[in-house]
Amino acid sequence: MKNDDIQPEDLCAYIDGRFPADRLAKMEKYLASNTEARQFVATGQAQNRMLRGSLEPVLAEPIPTALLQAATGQENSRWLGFSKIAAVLMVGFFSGFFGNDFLQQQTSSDELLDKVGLAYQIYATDDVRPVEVWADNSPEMMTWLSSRLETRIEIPAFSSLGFRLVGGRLMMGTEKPAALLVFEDDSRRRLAFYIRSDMPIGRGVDLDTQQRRGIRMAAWQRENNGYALSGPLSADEMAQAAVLAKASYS
Amino acid sequence: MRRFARSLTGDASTADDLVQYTAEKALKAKAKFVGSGRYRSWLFTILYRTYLDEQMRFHKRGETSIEAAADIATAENAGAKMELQQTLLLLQKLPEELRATLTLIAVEGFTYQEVASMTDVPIGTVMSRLHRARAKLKDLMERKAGKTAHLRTIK
Repeated sequence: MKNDDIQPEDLCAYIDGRFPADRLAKMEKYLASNTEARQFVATGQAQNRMLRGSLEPVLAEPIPTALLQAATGQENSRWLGFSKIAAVLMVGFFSGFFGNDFLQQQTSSDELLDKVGLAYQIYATDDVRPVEVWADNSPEMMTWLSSRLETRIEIPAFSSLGFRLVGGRLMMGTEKPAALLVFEDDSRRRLAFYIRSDMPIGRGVDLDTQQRRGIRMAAWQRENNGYALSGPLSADEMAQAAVLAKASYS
Repeated sequence: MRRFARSLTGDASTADDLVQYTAEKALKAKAKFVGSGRYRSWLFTILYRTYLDEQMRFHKRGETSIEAAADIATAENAGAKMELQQTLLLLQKLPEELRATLTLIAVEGFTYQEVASMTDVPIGTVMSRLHRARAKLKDLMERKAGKTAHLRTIK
């Protein structure tokens, strides 16, 4: 992809929400003029939805009883059995079983996902007062949040996804203040964007996603800053939202 | 991991065996985890390589039980289970490298770069595999839809 023209592989990247945000306009123009490409993208997106949707139940399936029993029953056993190892791995999959340094990056992105999930449920779903400062005071709010977090806070341009800023509030990180921005679209879906600046430094997590009860979450880290999104979005929308949010902090 | 294993093998119990086997390998090799890249992709890499190494074993059992599972699915709680089985059957019709590439990216959300290092091919190959997988899947789905339509007209 030496030149800037749209290549067949670019269509896949677009389908997967991994197409660079700065070339999106070019892609949309290309799609508008090319029926075949448009069909390929539509089919690909439908395939993604079909694959994710139909494979999702596997995640909700109970873990085989034998494995669970092994994990809960014999904590003091000196012999780590085959199935017990597997069960401990699956049950406490990201819970630090391997030791801290080893799992640091995983736990920190998990923590981000937990925080943003909770922030969405507590604040973003509040009809009366989801935010402390409403969007009409956003310049003032951004200055305030940036100075409290001691890092630059930007409002991502979610308008291409139909979301606009409702407002923001100060939150808690682990050691320092954190921030929450809340967005809303025409069908009153809310999107929470959580930012904190006190992440333990490690190899930045590129992107982690999760879904719990229809609420999708995405988290990533850059240096000491942790970013996370949460809302009732489709996987494609969430991927695009993450691309947009990342772009405003690059 | 269980979901990816299921996509690869097409069958629940074979998939859980694969995860269990992977877990054991991961624990043994944990000292070798040097931390280049994410922990999750490291585990998935082990799972995928284990599957390739033991493909005969994990696949052979898979084929017999896919049918059994499909039978059960038609009998009760059709909806979601049926859909799952149909997707698994479809995926089994893709060549193994296309199946893995597509599910790692479209379902498990790994980046192209991560999948390239997991499957040990250049990133360009990942992209062309992804492209081929999508085209092939489209083909399979259209053929399936065509068959159903055909059946309907005879009826």
